[in-house]
Amino acid sequence: MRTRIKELRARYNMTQEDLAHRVGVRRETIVFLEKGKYSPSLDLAYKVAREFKATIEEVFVFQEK
Amino acid sequence: MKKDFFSDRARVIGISIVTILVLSSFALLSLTLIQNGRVSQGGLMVIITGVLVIFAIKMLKDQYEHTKDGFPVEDEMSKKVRMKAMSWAFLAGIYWLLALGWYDNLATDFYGASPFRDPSQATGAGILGMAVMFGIFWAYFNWKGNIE
Repeated sequence: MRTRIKELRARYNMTQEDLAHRVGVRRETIVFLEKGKYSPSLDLAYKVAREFKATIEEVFVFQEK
Repeated sequence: MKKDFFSDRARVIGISIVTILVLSSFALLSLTLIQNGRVSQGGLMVIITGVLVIFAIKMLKDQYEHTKDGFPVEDEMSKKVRMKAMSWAFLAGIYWLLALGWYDNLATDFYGASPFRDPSQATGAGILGMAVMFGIFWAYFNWKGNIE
């Protein structure tokens, strides 16, 4: 799964720690999300998308394996 | 948020106490084995205890820092990593127990005596093996990250 979290974080001037605090996860989870090495739950995907005032599809780009 | 902070802190303290007790038991067992002249088994236990101490210090340090910085001690990814490591350790543990059984049979046939003093020692070796495997799988999945 590819994500646009890094790009959106830069746009909103937000650090990984800030985003982690806002969505209630550890910083490591944000690192793995950005690298596309972790597929989040629908709940977490929604919370992340909400922080960027975007839809889930705009933040997470699904890639067929 | 304040309640989460205190419950997380209590959790870290609880885990620290249990970890110290378990590792102290391992250290005492290692010393007892060495004192009883079973130097190779005692030495192996010292090495295993050392590895567990390193893992425990890293884990507790991370958890303490997370709590201090206001992050949750555990989130959905760390729960998934723990669950996956547990399931893999359980599966590998079955083969580990099978291997211990074969080792016991072979050693009994070869040397005429079981390598284990009594069933509780064999059970202890089984549980310790599973605990070590859990630690290895946990570290691997934490590093790999790609948990589905």
